[in-house]
Amino acid sequence: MKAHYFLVALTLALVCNTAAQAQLSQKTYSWEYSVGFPMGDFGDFIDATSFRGVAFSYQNPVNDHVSFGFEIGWNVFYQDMGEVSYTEGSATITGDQFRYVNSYPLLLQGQYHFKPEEDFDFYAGLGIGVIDHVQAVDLGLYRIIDEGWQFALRPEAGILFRVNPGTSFRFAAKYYGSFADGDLPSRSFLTLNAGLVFMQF
Amino acid sequence: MLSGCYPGGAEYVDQLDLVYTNYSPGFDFGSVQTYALPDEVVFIDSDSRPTDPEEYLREPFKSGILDGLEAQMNARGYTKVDINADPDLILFPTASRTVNVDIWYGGGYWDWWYGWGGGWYYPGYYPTYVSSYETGSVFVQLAFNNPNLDPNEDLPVHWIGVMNGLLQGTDTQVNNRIKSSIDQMFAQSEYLRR
Repeated sequence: MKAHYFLVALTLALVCNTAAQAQLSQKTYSWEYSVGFPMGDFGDFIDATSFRGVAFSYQNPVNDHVSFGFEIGWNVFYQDMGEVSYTEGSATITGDQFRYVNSYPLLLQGQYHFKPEEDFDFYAGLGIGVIDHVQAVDLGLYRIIDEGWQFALRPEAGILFRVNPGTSFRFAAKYYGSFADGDLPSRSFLTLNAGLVFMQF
Repeated sequence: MLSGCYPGGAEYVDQLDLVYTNYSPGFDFGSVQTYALPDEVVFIDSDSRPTDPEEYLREPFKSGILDGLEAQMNARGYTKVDINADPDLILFPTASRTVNVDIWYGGGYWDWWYGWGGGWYYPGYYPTYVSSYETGSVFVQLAFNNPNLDPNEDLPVHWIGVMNGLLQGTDTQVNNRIKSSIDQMFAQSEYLRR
């Protein structure tokens, strides 16, 4: 009986060790669902939570704790402003207005994993790159579109929960700090993400 | 440019209605008392030209526009008089169903009624250009009937109101939208009163 316990313990240890090594040595890719919250100037423009978001990332480990990779994403923000009037000079225009921003982050990123050998692995990351914001304002039968490619910094904190040696759940909070350019004010937003991370064996 | 996703948006046709007004800041709307309103609303179709024979808007839209304008002008303290009674102000309502329309800078559509040879101009402001497709528009121009105006001079238009929307729905539905848009033209033009 003791021999059986020993074999079970040894097997578990090997599995866990293999998983830990996989965590440290394997490339990963992930798909995440993303809920977005406009912040700052963006929050003044659209004050509504976005439930339309997705992100894909790919990470390549460089040592036991650090990985580098990239992220691409798509977040859709929308708000029905109802009937509004705008006056400029002597002109006034009134109509139902609908506001949209489609944001496409394209970032290089690094992550530091605090407990890569454990089933619950906390990590922090920083992304740098650009976000393409396509902003549309519908008024009556007319749509006014502005687009801005904005420099972006994106700090991130999250946790990976390993469900098997090749798969983990990811829960993360990300702040997409997006800097104003000539065409658009800052379009920064916060996201809460949930998704799956797959090891590439 | 990435095209993007555009969820939500207008669910009802009246959510696509737009009301635009503009006016001449230098004109004192409180200094005048009477106005004239025609018995018809000129109708411009997509290929109409100012030199074409006049077309008029059919009922119930004609009465919807004229009654709405009269009610609003009376509520603002102005008195309706006949065009031959030397009114201070003249309202020119025009409706269109066009692909592109540019009725500004010319009074030719109204020569038959007012009988002057010039165009019109907009002192101190510029009306917007209206481009539309499969839509209807109602234009209201409020001109000052300067008694010293030479028949060949341009007529000063001191206020304009434009309603633009999709031509969809029953006559009653469209007429109700026209009426509420005329009300909105005046609601956003508080300066337009005696």
